[in-house]
Amino acid sequence: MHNAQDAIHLSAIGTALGELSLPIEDLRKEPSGQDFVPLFLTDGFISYRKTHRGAVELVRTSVKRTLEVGGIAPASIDAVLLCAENFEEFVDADAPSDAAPGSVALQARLRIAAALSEMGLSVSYLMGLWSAGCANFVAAMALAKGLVAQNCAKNVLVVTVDCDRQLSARIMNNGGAVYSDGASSCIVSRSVHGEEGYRIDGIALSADISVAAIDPRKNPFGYLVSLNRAIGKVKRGIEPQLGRGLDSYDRILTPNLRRRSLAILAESFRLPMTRFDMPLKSRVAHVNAADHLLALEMDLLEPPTKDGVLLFNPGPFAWNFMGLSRVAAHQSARVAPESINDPLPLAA
Amino acid sequence: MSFNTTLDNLLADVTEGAVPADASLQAKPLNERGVDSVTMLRFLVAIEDALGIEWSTDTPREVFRSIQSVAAYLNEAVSVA
Repeated sequence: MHNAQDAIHLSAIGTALGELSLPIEDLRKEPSGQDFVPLFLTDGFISYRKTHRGAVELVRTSVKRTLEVGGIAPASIDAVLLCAENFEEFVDADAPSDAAPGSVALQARLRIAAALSEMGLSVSYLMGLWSAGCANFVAAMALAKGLVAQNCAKNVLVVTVDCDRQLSARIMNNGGAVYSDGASSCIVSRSVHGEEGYRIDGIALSADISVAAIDPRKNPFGYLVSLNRAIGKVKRGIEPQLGRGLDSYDRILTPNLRRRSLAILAESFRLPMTRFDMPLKSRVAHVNAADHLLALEMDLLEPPTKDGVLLFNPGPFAWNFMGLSRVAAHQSARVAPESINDPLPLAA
Repeated sequence: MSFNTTLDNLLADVTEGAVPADASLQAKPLNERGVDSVTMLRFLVAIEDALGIEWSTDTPREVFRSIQSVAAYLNEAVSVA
């Protein structure tokens, strides 16, 4: 049973997807495109999202939306956790390609800080998460929840953003998905900001970084065996962390991956695929860590499930879970997620 | 010792008969027999459980082409061990 005073919530989800919707078919000319595009098409992927505006603008749009949906003053946000893998996407597209790595990181940091500061978040403590791929999201939620629980922060803004400037980088290395550009953000706090949000009932983080040593394109069977073995090692530790059995959830929200890739993970976790749900797969492809907030934003448009929802957040060598229960609040009107529903038309 | 029949039966078991044991198809590529990646994973785990072995993650991918190639690899491994 959750004590209302101790409960920590996720709310005020704001998303910003790449403004262009492009056909998956475009990827056929890329290396491995001939192999994977037919699989993507038969597995329900139709289009992906691309931005010309860059990662900083996606962050700006997503955070602006979170502030609006949550009705929260920027000055009340004490900390920002930014999940991103591709920090070079924050610098100008015309920056010299031979710039020193340190200068790229510095420029990215300055641009992110400047954008947040312009939005009124100037006293927020900015932290970055990377290295766990899409699994950065629940890692960020665990850190945000910890900051709130320890009274280090009252309101934590979690922002996930990723872009892929190069077409060749759009196919996941195990063929599991096509990457889209997008950002998504939310507030982690003791209160629900906006009309409705989620109580965070439990979080489980697990990983086996030895899986990273195997390239699935070169060694698909070794990768399969290694993945299964790694999940076998870590899965017994998950339910105690989560405080509840994985089997007890009827609905498991997953990232937008190929069904076949999810089936391998489901098999390794002994979870039925019939419980897996990807609300936006065909329309937005895989938006890295932002997939999960997009899925939750869509979930808020549906009637709540009785037993809560389990969010499954796998990464290249990490497998996280977060148990959530819908909680209503009465602070501001919910805004329809127009950034999802109104892309520019499919480009030729 | 030949593993062909054992492997054929294991594959039939993990697919609940969808890929039936058939000695005449042991050289046929597994993907052409309808073995997808999830079935392959079940099959590899079933082999480990049944034979008490552990696949090395750098086993050449050619090994997993057919029942015959898996059996040949296991026969070779047993004869070396």
